Amino acid sequence: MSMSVTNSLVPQPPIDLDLHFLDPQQVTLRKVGDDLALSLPDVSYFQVEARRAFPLSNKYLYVTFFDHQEQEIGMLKDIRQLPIEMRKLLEDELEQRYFTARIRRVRSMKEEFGLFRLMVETDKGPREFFLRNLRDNVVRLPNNRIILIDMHGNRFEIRDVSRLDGRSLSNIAKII
Amino acid sequence: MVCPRQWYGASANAVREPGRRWIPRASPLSCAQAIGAGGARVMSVVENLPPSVEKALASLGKSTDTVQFATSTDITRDGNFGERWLVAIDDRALVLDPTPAQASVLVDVPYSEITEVNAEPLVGGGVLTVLHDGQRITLLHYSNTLSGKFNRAARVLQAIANNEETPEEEDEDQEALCPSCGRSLPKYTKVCPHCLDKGKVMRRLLAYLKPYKGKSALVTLLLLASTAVSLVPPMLSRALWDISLMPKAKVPIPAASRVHSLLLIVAGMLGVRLLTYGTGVWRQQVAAWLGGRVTLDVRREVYSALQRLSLAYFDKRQTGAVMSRVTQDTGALQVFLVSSAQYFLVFILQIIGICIMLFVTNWKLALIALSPAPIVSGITFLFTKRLRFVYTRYWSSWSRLTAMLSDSLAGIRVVRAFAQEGREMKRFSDSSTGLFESEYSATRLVNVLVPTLSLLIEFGLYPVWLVGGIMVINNSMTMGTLLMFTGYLAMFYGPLQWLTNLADSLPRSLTAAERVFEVLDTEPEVADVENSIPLPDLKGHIEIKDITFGYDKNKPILKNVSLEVQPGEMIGLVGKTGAGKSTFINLVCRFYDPQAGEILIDGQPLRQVRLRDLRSQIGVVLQEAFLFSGTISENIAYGKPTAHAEEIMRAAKAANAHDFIMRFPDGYDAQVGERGGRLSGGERQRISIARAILHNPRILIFDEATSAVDTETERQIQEAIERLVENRTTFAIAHRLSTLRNADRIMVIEDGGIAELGTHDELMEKRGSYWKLVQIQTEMAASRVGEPAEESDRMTA
Repeated sequence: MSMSVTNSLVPQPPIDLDLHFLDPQQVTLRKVGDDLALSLPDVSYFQVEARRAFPLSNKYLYVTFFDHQEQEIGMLKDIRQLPIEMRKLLEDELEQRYFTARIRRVRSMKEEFGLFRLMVETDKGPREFFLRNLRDNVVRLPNNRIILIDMHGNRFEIRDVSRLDGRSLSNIAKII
Repeated sequence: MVCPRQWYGASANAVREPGRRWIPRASPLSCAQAIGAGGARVMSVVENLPPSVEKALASLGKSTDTVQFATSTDITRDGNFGERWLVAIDDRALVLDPTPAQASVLVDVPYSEITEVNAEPLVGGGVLTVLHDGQRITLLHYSNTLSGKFNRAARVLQAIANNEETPEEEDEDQEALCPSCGRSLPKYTKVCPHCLDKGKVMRRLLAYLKPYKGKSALVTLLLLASTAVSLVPPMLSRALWDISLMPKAKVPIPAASRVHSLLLIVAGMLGVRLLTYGTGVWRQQVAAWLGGRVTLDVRREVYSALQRLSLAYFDKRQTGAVMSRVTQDTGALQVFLVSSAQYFLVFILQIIGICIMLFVTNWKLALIALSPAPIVSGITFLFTKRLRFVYTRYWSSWSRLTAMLSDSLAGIRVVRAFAQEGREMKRFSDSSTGLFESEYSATRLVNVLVPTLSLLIEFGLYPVWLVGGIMVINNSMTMGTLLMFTGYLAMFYGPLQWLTNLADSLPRSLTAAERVFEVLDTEPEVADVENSIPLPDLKGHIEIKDITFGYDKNKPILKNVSLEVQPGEMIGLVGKTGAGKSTFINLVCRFYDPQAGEILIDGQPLRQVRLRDLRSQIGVVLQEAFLFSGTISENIAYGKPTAHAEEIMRAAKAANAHDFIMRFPDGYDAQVGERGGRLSGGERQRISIARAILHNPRILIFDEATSAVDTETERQIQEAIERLVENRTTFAIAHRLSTLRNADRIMVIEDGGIAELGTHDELMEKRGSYWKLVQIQTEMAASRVGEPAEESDRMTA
């Protein structure tokens, strides 16, 4: 019952001090129904959620898995080290979670009452969306990469603004 | 020690006479006297005594040579304005009425009866009292104007009475006065607009053009060329009339030759116009680049100067005032460099050129033509002054309206809750009406001003038409010459008015420039000494030896504090708000230097240690975690921009931040918003702990790191802190004593000193201040949670 007894003497509950990395050779990923399941040699998890630690800056590195109770199971350093089928499965899963259309052309952009209305062509088809509050919703990344987040939270990516065609560039010039 | 605020022109041995400048005044006699009397070195402050007081002293058989201290007040004992004198002489303090006819002693207190001297603040002024045997004797009253002076007077008198060394006084709270002219200075600056050496500022500004010699020369050349060219058209119009249209020749000139010269002249006119156009555009472009570039250089220099300056500089100024140095003042410089300076030269040259042309052609007519010039400048000057006044009023109405709006919109919930919509509408309507009125009066003035100025210009033309016309009729002047005259005059008055304007605006640009230079010239108070000691691998041993420090030197916050801290030891700091806990930490970080005593780090004096080494090994977690706008990972890596992604995540994990970060859709790439506004207080706090962990400091400082968060978050932060403090010298300030459960020793700061120091057990046994605090918090926790032992359990866990 004294404070002078420092923590070195009192047994401390084990705290997860460090990141917990998973060995890509020991991880088994599969689908159970529509859910992702993850098995390690000694334990299996169902209803697992895969998340990217750096979804905008790196899509392959540091993918982490959470169980249905929001507890982190562990992290994969590089999902490209997974066996090819599992990698494919995980990438599909992540693509769904981080669904982002890549803009190829900007057909038009109009400002209407403080909202920007964009008509774009993406790798997933043509789409019209509204942007609000450019300061928060236009995310500038290195290498001329830009993420636009529309008023409903959908993400649109421009891989390299400088490589857009001239027409698209002049259409979108006002917001980038 | 060099007084950092020496420009105030006043220090211990300076006297301010009412309405006059500070005059340094040594008082060797009283010093000698004091040394003779008690052996202690006494620096005295003696104001010039009026003759009536000297006489009164003489009648008491006292020589003015033995005066140790004398100062005057502005309120009499009966509460009227009037002069009274406090004089410390020989062995007593006297208060005298200096009224010439009846100068007399009102209060007489021997030093032996003075235990304590106090300057007590009242509302509209203050009172200087002495305490003897628990009884108070009032010496005199003073108005708030003199409260600074009498706060010092109390300390000086106390020292004299106790026969101690008089404290070195500094006139911090004095109104800032210009050391050369005595006028009061604008706030937050020491640039006196009156004494500004305009030539010097200009020369310094021009020095910024040096790196761009080629471009500057080009601008000058283009300036000269365009001015010269601009003088040509009136000459051509003279030629047009005198050679081609109405030649005055004895023999009529054949029409063909007249047409030929007409063609030449018109071609010349076109050529000149194109040349003016070309040089003008070119010059503007180059000058715009040059001005912008110089402003860029100055702005960069100002910002890096600000980064270098000590925190004390920022303590004394408002953020807004500092910001305006970087934005507005440098902006004013740009306007000056890009347009004012250029036009100034163009117009001066043009006016000189026109004068020469006019006088060479016909000096009598030139005199008549230029005679209205002084009147035109005079009236322009007056109008400009008035214009500035109405516009100042207009802008302040604007800012009042904006302030009112942001106030009431921010408080809209309160407005609704108290059903005060009607009143707010009325307030808005009042401000709006004020804006309308000031705007209307400004516009009205402009509407009169502009036509009046062109009218004034025309006034110069009528006499020329009249007198010149007669000369033409008399054949003493050609038609062409008259037209040339009027042409030049039309070019004369515009620039003249502009120059008159400049007389008003130039000083303001230069003051802006000087304010910028002031920042550049300020020496940081805390800086590396020459041959500073590199200390790349701190162990974390800290020895504090008898330090005294106050932000205001007259009001020490820490007095004679000493402490030795072993490497890896955790010290908990406890004490009331304002007791000096944060100040203590500021000194350890060397944000400030102590006024007395010293701090040793690993055995080296802190002042000698290279600042970069020191600061890079100190990590600070503050109550309000400050994040910069950017991503979470950028913020964690702020102290180590090269950190690898894994290091960042490890730090976040150790700070209990990883899990909540992974809950954000963008994970570590999530934007934190301006100042971290998109995160909660606890989240910001854990990110700032992660930042400190990644920084990997040898010395760690927590300033109320957990006071702004709920209990569960506190527990998580507490865990994170525990991991962080291992093997690092740690100082932790906390109000919640439970936060300090791991501290090796706890230090209770009271009244600027260490009241208690020891382990938790030792202090609990002592039943002193710390024990009391623990009792209070245990009771509070009990009444809050209904679990009597909760807080103490955590305390001792």
